Amino acid sequence: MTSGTFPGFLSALASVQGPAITGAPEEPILDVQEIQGSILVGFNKDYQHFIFFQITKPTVAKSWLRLLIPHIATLDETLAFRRLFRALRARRAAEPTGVIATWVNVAFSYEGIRKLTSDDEAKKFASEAFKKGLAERSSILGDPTDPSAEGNPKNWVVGNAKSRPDILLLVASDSPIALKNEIKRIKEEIKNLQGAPPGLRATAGLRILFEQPGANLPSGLAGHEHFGFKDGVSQPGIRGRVPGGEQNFLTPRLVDPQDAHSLRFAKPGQPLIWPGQFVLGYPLQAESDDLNPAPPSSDRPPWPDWARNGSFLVFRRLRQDVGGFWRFASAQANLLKQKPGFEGMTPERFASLLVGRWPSGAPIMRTPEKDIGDLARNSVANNNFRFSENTEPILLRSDVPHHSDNFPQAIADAKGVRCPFAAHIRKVNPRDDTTDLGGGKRTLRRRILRRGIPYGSPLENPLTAIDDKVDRGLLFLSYQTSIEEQFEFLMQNWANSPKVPKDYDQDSHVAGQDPVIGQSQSDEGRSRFFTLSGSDGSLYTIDLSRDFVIPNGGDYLFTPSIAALKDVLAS
Amino acid sequence: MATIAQFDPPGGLDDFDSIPNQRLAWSEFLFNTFQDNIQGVEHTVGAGKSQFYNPQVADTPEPNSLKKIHWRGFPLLIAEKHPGNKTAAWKEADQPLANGERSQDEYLEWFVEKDARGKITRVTFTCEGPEYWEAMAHGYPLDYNGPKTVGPTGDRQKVLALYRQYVDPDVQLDELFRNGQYDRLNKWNTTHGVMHLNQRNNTLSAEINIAAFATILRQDSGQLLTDADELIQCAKYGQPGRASDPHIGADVNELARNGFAITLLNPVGLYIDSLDTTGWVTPNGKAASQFWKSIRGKLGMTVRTVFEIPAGEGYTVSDIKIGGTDIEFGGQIAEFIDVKLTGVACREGQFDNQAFGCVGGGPKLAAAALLHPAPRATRYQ
Repeated sequence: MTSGTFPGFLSALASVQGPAITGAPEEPILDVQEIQGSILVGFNKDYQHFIFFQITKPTVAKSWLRLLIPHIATLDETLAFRRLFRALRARRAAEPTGVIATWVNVAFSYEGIRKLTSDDEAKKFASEAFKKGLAERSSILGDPTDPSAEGNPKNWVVGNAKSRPDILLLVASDSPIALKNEIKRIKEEIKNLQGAPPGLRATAGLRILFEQPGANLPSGLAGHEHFGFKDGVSQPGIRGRVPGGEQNFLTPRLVDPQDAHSLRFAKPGQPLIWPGQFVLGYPLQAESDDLNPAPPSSDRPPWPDWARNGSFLVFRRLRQDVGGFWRFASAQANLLKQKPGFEGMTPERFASLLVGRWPSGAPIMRTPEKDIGDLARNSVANNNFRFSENTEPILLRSDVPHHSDNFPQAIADAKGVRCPFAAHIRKVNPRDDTTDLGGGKRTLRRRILRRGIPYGSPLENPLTAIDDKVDRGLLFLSYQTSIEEQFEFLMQNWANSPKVPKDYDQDSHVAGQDPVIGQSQSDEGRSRFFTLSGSDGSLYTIDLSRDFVIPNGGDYLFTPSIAALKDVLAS
Repeated sequence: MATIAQFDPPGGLDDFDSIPNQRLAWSEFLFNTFQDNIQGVEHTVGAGKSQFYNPQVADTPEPNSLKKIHWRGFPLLIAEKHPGNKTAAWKEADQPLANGERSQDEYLEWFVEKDARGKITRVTFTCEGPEYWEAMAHGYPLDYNGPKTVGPTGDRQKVLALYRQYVDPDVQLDELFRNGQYDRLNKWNTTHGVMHLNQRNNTLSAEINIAAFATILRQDSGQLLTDADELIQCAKYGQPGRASDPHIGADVNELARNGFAITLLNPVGLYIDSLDTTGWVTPNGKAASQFWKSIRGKLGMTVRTVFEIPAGEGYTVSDIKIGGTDIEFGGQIAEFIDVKLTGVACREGQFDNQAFGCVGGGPKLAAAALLHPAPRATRYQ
């Protein structure tokens, strides 16, 4: 850490109060007491627990929701905690482990909303994806259509036709004990409401369909997913302010106002996106203007008025075949290292080419040959790179403490030599690459907020994992205001497509699908492929005959505002 | 590759073969259109410095590479108007303007046919430019003012025969012409069917114009422009906000920045590349891809396709579900169609042109960017 003194919590507000920047558009004030806390800030908790309910008696469900409302964490609360946590961490130069919070948020499926309101009311949501739900949409996401396949919705543990949830409760805590206590409290509250002895679930009005715990991987792999890669390094910055001070921005602004990037970036690699992309009722990101919001549409909003301040939640339970993934990486590395241009290839380096980052999270664009842990842990460096053009230096504010970035800058890689076009992070966030949509600015509208957490018992060393038949993977969660144009677009149009967002010029080689999350379902089967480049620029295409990430549950839900809960869903 | 002998009709189409000198006239039209655009580019970059070249004048030496530029066929401008509401976007895209001009502006247009129950029986897609049809009717495209030394006068009966073959056997000759001129907006290409593109900017000339002018490097306040949208706003070729034009411009400009000489692959045209039917569910489980047929154009250069289900299957196009939603609009299919054009790049690094400032935005120039290619004076800056 360099420069600046460590601000106390309350005066930490000063650090997020960005300086006024000439030409900056006015950002809206977010309704912090209405928006649920996991959407724009995220829980960021080591322990989470999801409870899926089916409503059998709406009146009982409503009674429970009325009791639940004061416990629903709002943005006001999760933001305050985040700021406190960061101020403490800065001052202690370590994670403040004694500071604990426990949060609850709630989301509803289309069917759940219909049960709590009416057919007509639910129909006001124009989103076909939300109406149909994930299982019905799964074929366009590339999920297996063979009904005997594990990834086919028929075999999902939650979200299939027999277990479609109406309500999803998300509980999260820094402490596993506090989490357990909160879950207990909630369950008892429901039981008392139902007035029925435990066991008579069918008459009780609210039935638990499924429970799913999730947890941050322990110690060395904290913040990583089961393959061993640091997850969630890159999240979009969100334009918007919170009450209390004209410059009280939600996303901390680290760029010096003298640097033109300050208009568009919160920090290097983190573009600012209008909040309407993540919460209903706010200005939307324009198609190709990355500064000003989209002009208001003349359409009526495609959602009921009370949906304002809410957001769509995509939940996908993804099993990860860790042993399969690393066996594949080892086999490929062995084959490749004998080829000119790929000398010295290791399983770790090969896997990093599939992902676009090293296991530590360091981007291969900045360090193509080896993992650099310090780069990964440096929050102003680990996401500071472009793909097509050279990365320009960005001047950071001197009045706010931050790391300094002395690592080698990324070099322009318009030909996909350093980072394959199909590498996971390049597929779903092509940054400044020109895509089939147009310029890099067009990509901004497609971004999502990821709130996932791993599930299942962790492995000591993913690289040497064997097939232990344990169900482990990722509870993928994302927030966006258009399931179709954001989440589904990224999966269907880019991750699953071999030629987009960007392809090699040579006709002889096609980039391939996203090797981590991409799926392919054609007459010829589910095989995919991936093209990478040797140090001599030669292209080489590899077949991926197996899926390493298999969907086995999920649904599309809506996370409403507090007012929507009070005035509509619980009333 | 030596220089090409002549410019060929798009897609390997052979309609011109039966009309004496028609192939030669088509080549003359394209040759002069290329020359016209190159002169326009040189007006800015200087004589002899155009990175866009005429493949009939300059050869294409090794090493050279083909650059396939492709984009999705659903109009992005319309999608953007209806955030979060796909049905509204599909509805608008399927609905032509009052005069029959379609608002599908990504060089792909379509016509939907329904049965008595309102279910879609067939959707026909085209990416044939109107110039081809005007040339077939008159010898040369109607807007072409360049040299016409070859001088065929077209073959109206041929135009009629093709309309009868591809659109409807009841087409009458006088329905295709207005005041003696071939009418792009005739009823068989608007309300009663589709034979070729009729949206005002969907032309071959536009494609060539964009490719040529996108080879000029641009800077704004000393900053070299590389972003597709910044480039199109600055250079004022094509229409910003689309999927196609900014993308074409950006890909071409990237080659230009790397010092390449660039042209379009002969036969010059726009082509339907592919349809992605991943996850489409048919009532009887058959792959939806088998209902997609290429109707005109050689392999790899398809200019006309249909999506249609044979009577025996027992269901219609509308009974197919994409992500759980029935196909009720042609646009739902267009969303999964890739349209392409192919560029050629050679002589890498042989150019080192400076970057020029942005085109002064007078209202005349902005208008010129939107309309069908205007007279030279307003096009070049």
